[in-house]
Amino acid sequence: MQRRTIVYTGLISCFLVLVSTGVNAFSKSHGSSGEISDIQIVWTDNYDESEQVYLSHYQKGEWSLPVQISKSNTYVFHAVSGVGSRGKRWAVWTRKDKKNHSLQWSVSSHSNWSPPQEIKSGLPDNRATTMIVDSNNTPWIVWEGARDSYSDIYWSRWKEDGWSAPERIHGANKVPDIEPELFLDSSGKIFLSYQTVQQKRYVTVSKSWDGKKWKSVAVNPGTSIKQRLFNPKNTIKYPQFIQKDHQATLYLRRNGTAGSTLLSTY
Amino acid sequence: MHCRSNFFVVSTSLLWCLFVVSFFPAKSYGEEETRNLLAFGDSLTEACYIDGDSECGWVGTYSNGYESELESLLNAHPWNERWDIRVFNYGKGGEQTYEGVGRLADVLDNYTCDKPVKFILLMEGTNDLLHHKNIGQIEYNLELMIGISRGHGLEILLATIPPDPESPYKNILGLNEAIRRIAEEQAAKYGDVTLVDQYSALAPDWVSYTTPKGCYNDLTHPNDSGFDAMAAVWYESLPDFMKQPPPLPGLMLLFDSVLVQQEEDVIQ
Repeated sequence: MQRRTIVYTGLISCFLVLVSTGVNAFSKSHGSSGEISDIQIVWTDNYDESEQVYLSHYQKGEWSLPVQISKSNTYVFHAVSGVGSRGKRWAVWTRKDKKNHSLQWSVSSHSNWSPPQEIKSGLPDNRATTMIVDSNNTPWIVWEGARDSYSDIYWSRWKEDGWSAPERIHGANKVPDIEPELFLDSSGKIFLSYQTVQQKRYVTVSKSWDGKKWKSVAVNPGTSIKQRLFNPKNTIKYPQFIQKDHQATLYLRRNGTAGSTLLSTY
Repeated sequence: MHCRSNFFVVSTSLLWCLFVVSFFPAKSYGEEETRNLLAFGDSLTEACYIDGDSECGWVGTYSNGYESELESLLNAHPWNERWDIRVFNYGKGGEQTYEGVGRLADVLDNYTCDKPVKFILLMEGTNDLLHHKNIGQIEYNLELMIGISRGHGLEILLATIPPDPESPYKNILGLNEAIRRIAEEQAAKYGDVTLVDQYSALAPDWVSYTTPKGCYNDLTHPNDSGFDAMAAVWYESLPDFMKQPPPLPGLMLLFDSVLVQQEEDVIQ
């Protein structure tokens, strides 16, 4: 009887040790999926009755005070941002002019933001920008540009003296090409996905930068990159000062991987 | 003699006329499956009081969205009671039109509801404007959805979108102008698209349709009376045969009862 009790006690103890080890392992693997290097959020809102672009970054468990980046007297929207390993922060957004929608950009240097300037695309309509900063600290942007009803996907990157001349990523077509998303994977490779219409349905197209040009890839890595970047969600405190989360974009850099997501989908 | 033959000619002619006329529009009253409706859109269609989903869209409580009231309006007519007309709610909150294209194709390609539908009530675009999308893009997507619906034999009721005082930057007037143009062009070319001008009908009273606020607690979505008003606009836009009895209901019922008796005789 005594021997049986000892055996049972031993078994239960083993079980408890195994369970607690498993729980800790689970917590460890899900509580910190790689160190987050940079988190920042950029959004548009009209706090003082004029729509402007604001940015805040997350440090030591707290969001910094929002900084106003734009000085616009018309609507601004689709703001995105990126930050490199040296802490230089970039922001790009769309400004509604009288009939056109232009891209505007600004960069921070020692916490001071440069006056917004236009990225000249030669297109009347520019919106839905996505941005990453690569492992060389170069910002890349991709966006929807349109001359007529059908938007196309354009790209540009920063060169020493300014943004490169915008180029269309795909061939000419008569369908909307929309919803571009840029990602940086842990090896430093840049991926792009967007939606286009084939046989009257939207399909996802994926490309990667091979050093010289955009090359089609069969599988869209964006979903898995996003999964790794933005989970678990409880590691980042939701910013209380954002009133319209569908107008805010969260940028994350973790273990070399980088990407953005709309705060409303986070 | 003369009077009797005249009477015979007149009454025979009248009976022939009645006989011929009673078949118009007989085909419209023929089958139950020509009467059910599929409501497709965003949160303005989905509404709030959803109990769950089924093989026929959302299952809502009686007071949900516009579909409840539209069903009531349609089935209130004694003639329609025999059909038990259903409005199936396939709304999805937050959906933009480029998302709606794929979802609509999936819904119709994989339709598992045991009650076929004849009409689609299509109302989308407000979320595209919320996300600052190009109106040309929205137009393209709505036309894709019209084509998908047509490919499944549905008649399309295309609605303009209601006002949204929450987001004054939304170019609702511009989009609605485009929607009216689409409906006109498609109707002229194919004859199966009807414009449902929800905006023009609801805008004058939108304040009362959002005060008190409805289940979404904002000025974008109507309250219960607003959803009822929306249902009435859909109802008014439906073809006449959905809203009134045939020209000679007595004769139709007579034919039906004769046919039923014949079937019973056969079974016996």
